[in-house]
Amino acid sequence: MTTPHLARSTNVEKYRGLFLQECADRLPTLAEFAEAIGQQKLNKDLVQDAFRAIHSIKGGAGMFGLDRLVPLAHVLEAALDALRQGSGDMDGERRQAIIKGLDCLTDLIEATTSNVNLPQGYEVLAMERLTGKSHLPPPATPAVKAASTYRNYVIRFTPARNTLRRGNEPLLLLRELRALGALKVKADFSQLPRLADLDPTDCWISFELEVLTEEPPEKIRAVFEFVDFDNSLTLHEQGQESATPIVAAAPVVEQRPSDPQLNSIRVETGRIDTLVNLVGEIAISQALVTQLIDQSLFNANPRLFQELSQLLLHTQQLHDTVMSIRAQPVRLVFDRMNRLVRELSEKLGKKISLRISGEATEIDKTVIEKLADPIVHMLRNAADHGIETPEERRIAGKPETGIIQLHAEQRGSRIVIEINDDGRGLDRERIRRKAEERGLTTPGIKLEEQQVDQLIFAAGFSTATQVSDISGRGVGLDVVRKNVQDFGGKISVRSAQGKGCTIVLSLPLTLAVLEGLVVRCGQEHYVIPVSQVLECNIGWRENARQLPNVGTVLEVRGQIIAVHDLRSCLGVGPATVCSGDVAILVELENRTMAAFVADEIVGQQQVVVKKLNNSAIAMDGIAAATILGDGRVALILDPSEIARLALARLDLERSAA
Amino acid sequence: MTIKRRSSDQPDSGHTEQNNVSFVEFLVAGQHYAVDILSVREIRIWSGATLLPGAQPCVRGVINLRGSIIPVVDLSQLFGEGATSTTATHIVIVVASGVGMVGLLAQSVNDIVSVGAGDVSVVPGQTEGVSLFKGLVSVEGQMLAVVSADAIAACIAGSTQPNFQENKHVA
Repeated sequence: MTTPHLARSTNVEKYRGLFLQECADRLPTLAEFAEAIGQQKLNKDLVQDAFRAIHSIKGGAGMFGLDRLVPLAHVLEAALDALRQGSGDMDGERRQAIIKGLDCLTDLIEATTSNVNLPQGYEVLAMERLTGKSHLPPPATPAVKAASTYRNYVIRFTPARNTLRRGNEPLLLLRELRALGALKVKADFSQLPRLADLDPTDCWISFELEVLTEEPPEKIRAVFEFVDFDNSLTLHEQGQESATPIVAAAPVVEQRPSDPQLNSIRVETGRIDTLVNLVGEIAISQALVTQLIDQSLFNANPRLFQELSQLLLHTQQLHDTVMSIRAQPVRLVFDRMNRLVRELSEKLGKKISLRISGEATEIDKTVIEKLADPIVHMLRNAADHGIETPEERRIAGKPETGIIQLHAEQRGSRIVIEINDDGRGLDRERIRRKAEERGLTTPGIKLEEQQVDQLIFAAGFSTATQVSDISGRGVGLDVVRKNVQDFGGKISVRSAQGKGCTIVLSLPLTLAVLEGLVVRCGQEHYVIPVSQVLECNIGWRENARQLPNVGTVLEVRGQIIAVHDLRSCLGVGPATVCSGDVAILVELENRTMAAFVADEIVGQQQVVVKKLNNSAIAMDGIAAATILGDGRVALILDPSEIARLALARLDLERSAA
Repeated sequence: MTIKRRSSDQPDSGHTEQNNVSFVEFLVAGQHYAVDILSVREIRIWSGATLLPGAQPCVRGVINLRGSIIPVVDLSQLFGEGATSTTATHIVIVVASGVGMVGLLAQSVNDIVSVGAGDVSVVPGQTEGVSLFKGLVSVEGQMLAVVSADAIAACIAGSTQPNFQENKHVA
């Protein structure tokens, strides 16, 4: 067993936390298994993995007194065991029962982890479906029930003298037995020596145990599986003649494929961050060294060049490796979605099947954490608004079961997540009407189909006439869009009337690196996040004019936008006339545009984001900082804030005038 | 001038070294200052800083300290002596404060001085906590003003506004 038998001690709380963490780690396995059952794509490995996960959860739960987990885990284990033996007949009902049971177990574990108490009897229904029997807790007198299915086992268990010293605790075994059924314990103290002769670490007590359960003898043996074989142990079923000495019957611990958990270690993310920092520094130092080494030195010693190239290669590999430590597959998020869609389809009375692909795509842990919310939102929308009811689908000549596809893939330095449904698509007419009602667009203006579609992301837009339980919880798509943008993501929608709708989320692979436009103002370099840059407008002066009291404005394709000189915004050099020839058009938080002018656009590059945690250097308009190739610090700008500050300053000047 | 004893309740055990405190002595605009050696993380050569828009005038900018971004304070400006015109021989003393690391821009580091804990005198007319200075130390006739890293960090964050004029010339 991967979880050691633990003596009750002051450390129990700590180990309990560790156990719950372990449970949480196993949940994805179970989710994957549940999905495979649902799609009838089971294979032996999956069953085996799931069985092992449940078995560990059950064992640990018993050990740490998480008594609610045990019975449910137990019936699930039995169900999976049957599957494993190949004797499980799986009709739809049975499949649903197992899936429900797994969902229920997940809930219980999550509730225990977050110290929430689920209502008594929460798991009873799921258990009944699994076993086809009543599971009203507590099973006070199980003997009353159909005696034929119950067997009475008599176990004589004499722990070895050194049992306690070896870290085995008989009490835990008794608890595990109790989880199997009604347990009667008789302790035999006859061997106890006189107090004066007693070594408290010796175990002198033997037990006579009677278990009334419907489990086969293997189950009972399994309890003692991890006890040393020098314990004398006999087990027989009452009514049967022969006592089965377990020692002889139990095969030496089952050969299991090596547990992947054993090959990994838990590391604080803080340590990895430090490592990432240091590797970045090494890269910079190395670049500086390379620059400093004189060409003549290379000529004098050709090997120097060779070795330096090697170093460069290794540093690059080191960097990639370190970054990959933090990378995790999106499966962690995607697996949770199966259940969501399952529940949504039940609630909405629609038939929906979720197809997941590309779940092995890896992205940085920092992004993974932010991924779940937008995806949940999109899936709710797709299920609620996109997919039609079975009748509607039949009429439209589509299969009754709607399909939502959740797909992830890496494209360059970004990860693209597509949520595609084969539902009715966006109703452009309705969107247009609604947008006009809410004043989000001017009536009569010609809009491209694409432009209409994007209106669903506008603030204050929601076409659902009724706020349903599923989507439209007061949080509109505009909030999702903003959240996604906040971490450098983009969101867009493609729709085909009657055929379905695709929402595309494009996210950076990591939040630690940002695609930046590097600009120069005077001596300083600044970085503008490319995700917010719409275009770089060359020769902007032709379409611009200076207005007293307003500043410079620029006309771009019929829109008038304010031009801010970064020099004066950032207080670098005198606030003279904008010097640069290129205006950088950015989209601001409030979906308006602004243009910034810098002295020069240096180029586009990926920069490592350094948070300005120190309160002394947290400034408005500065989002973060980065370190450029020459080791200098460059500030990453927050265009929205800078534009706001610039307008505020203008207001101040006007009121002063 | 009252003498503030840090360990007045400790019996004199004869191990005078235990009661000693060490300072890094440095020069800002021709004046001698000191900072508790335990708060000093490293001393670097001045190699420029990145301007920080919106920061207090005494903040010279930010620098890269092995991957962390830290502010550099121009002590000369902070002490009312005008902005330092930096040369390649100027140094940045990196000190740890309650809110993180802070770089102190100074002309040079002179020495490391060690004095008895009892030899640190309080600045007259100053309530502790508001002052940029923790006290005064006299070494071989030279009076050193001991700066408080925490106070300087708090000052550049704009949370306290100490009166510079009163302790402008401490020597």
